[in-house]
Amino acid sequence: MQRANRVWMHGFGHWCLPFIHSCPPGVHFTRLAAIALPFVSLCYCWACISGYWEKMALRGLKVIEMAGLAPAPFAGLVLADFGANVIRVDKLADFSVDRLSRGKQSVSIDLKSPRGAQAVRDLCKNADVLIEPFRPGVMERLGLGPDDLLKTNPRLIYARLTGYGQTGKLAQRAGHDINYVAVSGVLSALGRRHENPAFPGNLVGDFAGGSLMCVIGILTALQERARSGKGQVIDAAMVDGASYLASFVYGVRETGMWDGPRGTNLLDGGAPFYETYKTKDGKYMAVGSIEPQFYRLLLQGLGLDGDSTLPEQLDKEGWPQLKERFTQIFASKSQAEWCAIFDHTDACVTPVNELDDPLTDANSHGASRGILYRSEEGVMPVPAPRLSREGALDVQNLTMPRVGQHTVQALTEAGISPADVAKLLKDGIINDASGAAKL
Amino acid sequence: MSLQDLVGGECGAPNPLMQLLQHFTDDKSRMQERASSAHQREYGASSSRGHQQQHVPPHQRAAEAMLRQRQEDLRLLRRGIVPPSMAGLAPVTTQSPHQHQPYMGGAVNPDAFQFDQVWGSLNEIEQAQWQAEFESHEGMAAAFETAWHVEQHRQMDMHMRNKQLEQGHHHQQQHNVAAESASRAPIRKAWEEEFSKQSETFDEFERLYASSSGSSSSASHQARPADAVGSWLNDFDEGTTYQAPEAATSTSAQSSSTAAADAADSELARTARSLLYDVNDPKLKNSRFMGFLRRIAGGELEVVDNEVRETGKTAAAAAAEGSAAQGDWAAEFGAGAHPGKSRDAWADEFAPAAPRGDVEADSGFADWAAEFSQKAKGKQPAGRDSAFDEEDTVDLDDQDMEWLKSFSESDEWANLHGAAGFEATKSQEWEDEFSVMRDRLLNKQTGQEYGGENGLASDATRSRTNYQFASDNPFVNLPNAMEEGRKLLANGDLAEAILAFEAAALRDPGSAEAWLLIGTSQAENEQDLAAIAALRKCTELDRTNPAAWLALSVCYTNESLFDDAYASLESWIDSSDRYRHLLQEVKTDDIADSPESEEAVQMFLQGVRPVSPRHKRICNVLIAAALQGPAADTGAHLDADVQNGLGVLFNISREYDKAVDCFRAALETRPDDFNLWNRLGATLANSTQSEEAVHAYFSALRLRPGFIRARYNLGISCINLNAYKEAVEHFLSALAMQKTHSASHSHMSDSIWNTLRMTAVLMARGDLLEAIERRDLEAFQGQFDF
Repeated sequence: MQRANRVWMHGFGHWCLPFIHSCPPGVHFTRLAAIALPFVSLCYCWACISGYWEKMALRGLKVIEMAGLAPAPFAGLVLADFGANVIRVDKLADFSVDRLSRGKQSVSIDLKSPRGAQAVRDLCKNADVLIEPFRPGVMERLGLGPDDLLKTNPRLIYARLTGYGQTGKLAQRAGHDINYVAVSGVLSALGRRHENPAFPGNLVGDFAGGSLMCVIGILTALQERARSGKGQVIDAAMVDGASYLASFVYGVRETGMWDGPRGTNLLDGGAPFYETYKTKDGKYMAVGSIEPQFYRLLLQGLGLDGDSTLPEQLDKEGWPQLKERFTQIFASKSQAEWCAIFDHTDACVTPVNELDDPLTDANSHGASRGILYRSEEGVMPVPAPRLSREGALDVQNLTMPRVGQHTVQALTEAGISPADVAKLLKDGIINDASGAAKL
Repeated sequence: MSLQDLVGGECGAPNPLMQLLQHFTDDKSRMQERASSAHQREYGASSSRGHQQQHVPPHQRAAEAMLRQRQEDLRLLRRGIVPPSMAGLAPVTTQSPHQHQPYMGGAVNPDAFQFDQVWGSLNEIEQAQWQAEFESHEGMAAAFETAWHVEQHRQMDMHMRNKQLEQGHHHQQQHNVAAESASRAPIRKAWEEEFSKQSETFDEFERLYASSSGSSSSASHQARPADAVGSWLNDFDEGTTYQAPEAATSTSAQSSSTAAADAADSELARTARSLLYDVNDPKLKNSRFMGFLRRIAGGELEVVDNEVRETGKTAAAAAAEGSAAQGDWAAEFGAGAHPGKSRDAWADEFAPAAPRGDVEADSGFADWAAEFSQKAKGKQPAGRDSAFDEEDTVDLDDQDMEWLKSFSESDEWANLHGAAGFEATKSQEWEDEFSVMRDRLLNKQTGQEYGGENGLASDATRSRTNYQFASDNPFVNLPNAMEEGRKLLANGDLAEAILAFEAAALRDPGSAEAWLLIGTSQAENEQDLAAIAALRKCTELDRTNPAAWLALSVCYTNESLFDDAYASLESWIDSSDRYRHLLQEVKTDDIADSPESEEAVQMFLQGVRPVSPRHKRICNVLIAAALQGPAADTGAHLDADVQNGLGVLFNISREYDKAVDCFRAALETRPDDFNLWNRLGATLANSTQSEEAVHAYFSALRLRPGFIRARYNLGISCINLNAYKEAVEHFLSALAMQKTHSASHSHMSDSIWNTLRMTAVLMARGDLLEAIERRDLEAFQGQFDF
């Protein structure tokens, strides 16, 4: 169990052993700390001891991510943020459009070449997880199917993240988030009454039903592997994921909470007290005053307290009338004015903040939690959830790799002999970005 | 270059002499090596020993003999013997003035590529420099000896440091600040790097504030009396609360009459500015305390007779923020209740949020107070339980937050709680929030330090936005650090020059020139990210510094941050009085009006990087600028800067042929611009014309022997020409040159190490990988000549 002793240092795959000779003199020596125990003097690498790498729930996990567009990169990103060593396998290309590669490594390999595929197989030999986003059969054709990889590494968790899944009627069809959510049935429940179904960007299929379900699958399989010692194949389909995500919607239909047509129910924009309203300055407020005591506070804030002409809260017939009243009243004040009224009540009325507000508006809740950060590469959210001991890395200083930035490093660390790596380089089957001249 | 400079007398600083010696002793063996391996490398049958000798001019052969002699001398010196040849040093007589070879890339037949020539010319460069040094100094023997001692000292120093390191752990028990500053362990020193600067400025601010407030106990800086500390905090709280503008106007007149107070206040303002500069955490930056500091720094507030007053020098822009902010903030600040007050004081910072403010009442203030109290209490965030963490925390307490500790334990704290309407129930929330922030701060610190010191965590440092200064900078107390830096730069000692410029920038953070020099030197030093940070600072201070914008565009291009590169080029054009109008005038009709989003989609779907409208627009403007030409009084027929900009632009779009033409054209006007030579070389190299690139690099190195980037690029071209051993030697030389005076702080480039790794693999030298991983330059000694 060599890996048990070794600590992956995120970002460059350096490792150290917790013994005195593990970090030899030289530049490293200045960053060693000796800890004297009764019988043995241990010498830890500075970075390990400082706790920087310790705050990593998934440290030691090696993940190979076949480069994709959005869902697979986000799944990899979550694992990387929590400390896994994620190596993205890129094509031979100059650049990548992937904006979710913070803190990952990049290797650049010609997958269509058998020797390139062999390099990926070698990479997977001591990996814990593989994430692949291709249509069913593609990996098999490359010689990288589950059979190929699990044969040499039975502990590998092989996560297949696709829209329609590995099997089923549409398995071989192309598609995108909107199709998957639509096919799952979930999209029909989203949107305004008498209008076309409305989809919340590509969040439900790609990321909630796709990436996150995939990550759950991976973590679950890891837990299982701890018992069985075996990896398994994960068929993470976004259709399935979106559907599973909607369990609540299905579940509460029987209770009458979500049994009407689209846009007429409690939580889908039917109810006036679970709705967004435009304010005088063209911004919006979000109202979620479901419970009676909160609803009372809403009415108080709106100045409707004790208004006997108002329909009852749960009188569905009266909802359109109520909504009209609320709409008029909300339009009479600016968002800031409404915030001043509702910020310190439990009315469940909040501003609809702009994407950057949690960073730029010091008064926002997001700012007080520090949910966003800004770097050279733009504004990004910090990882969630927060774990009390070892959670996510501090990601603020991590950056996106250039394509092929870690090719040689990752392949040699994976145990491919330098001579073989050199051959691959010379034959143009892999590319390392270190060879570019600087202006 | 004085003798002092030559041997690097500044407490173990790297000395050019040693480096130089290193180089020419290497070069001799390199030449031999080349001769013997020439045939194997298949660079033409003519690459024989004899052929090479034909190419060696007489003066060089004589110099070669001398180099051999010097090598022998050095060997003796290493054994502590002064060689007989040094008893009476004779100047070299065979030197001929060095001639700059014009670029002849087009004329070079690739088949006839001669490494020998190339090595020869490198030899010449280094030798010429050495000879120049040699001739100008009689006391060479002494220099050699000193160099040797410096080297010894350096080794001993490192040994001592390692010893200190072991002792470092005992420090955690010592809470005496003064004692700590006397004997800092290196690790602590590294950690302190970020925080101590900040805390020192805090101290300074505190002291100045106290003294300008007329506090009697303020003189004792070390003691950090709680009342002095509390006094300015109170002032911040109360002063900003009820100081009416009427009073401000009168006090502003009053203050101008008291010259002494003025001086102290401006010093206070300076310190506040410096403090503002040091604080990087965005949350702290946005806190009201920082707002308070900003106002002091900007001269809006001053401290007279224990009172905070407005000077009336508020930003005109604030007025525009209007009435919305006024009422609420006036309400929030209670007694003040004057519209002008709130507008002046807070509109800038808080206007957007103001209407919500009255409910929040002072929570912002309580917020930072809570943060600080939390820091002072040194509450451990969960999960940080190693011995090292404890030390870490102690570090923070002692170095950074000592004054806060005393503050939080004093009565002022309780008063503040009351004054700010601080709810006990909220306290826990804020504490939690703070612990998160502190965690982040801590992580950021370690991350930066980690990358900054040995450059291991390349990924972790790529995006840092603030420039990281070197620790224990020997120039820090040098009054004319700028001059010194220029001198060092001219002498080719890049690493030292950067330290000198850093010292200048530390002394005067408002000096755009210092930042520009740091930036351009760091680019020269193959440290684009540091260069970007410094150049950004420069452009913040001076929006119209053309050199900084142009240099930035190059760095961004190297880092593949193309949008930033475009923005820099635009700013550069905009900063030029001569070309600014072109930004408006140049017709963009021929540019398809495709929206940026379309470009993004195209990029996303096809994985290609199209030439964006923005690119085309800048290109057209630059071409128009090129057609317009330089001002007549320059005497030049073309503007090299414009050509340079176009060259960068064409590199982004990978139109290398055009870029080559641009750089060549620029070089016609400025044949001595080593940067242009290197850019020409890099462009040629990236368009797979490595052999021609090598010539361009040599022109650059001839002009600037200490040009790390050109040397690195030269190594890359060697790789492309399958000359791996030479490539490694170039990388190692570059790294050795980057290694500065102390082992505890070196500026070796990740990019060079990474390319070295690739080269080692290409050479099938897997045995070198471990040393590369460790960034262990010494491990290569004896195996490679560098």
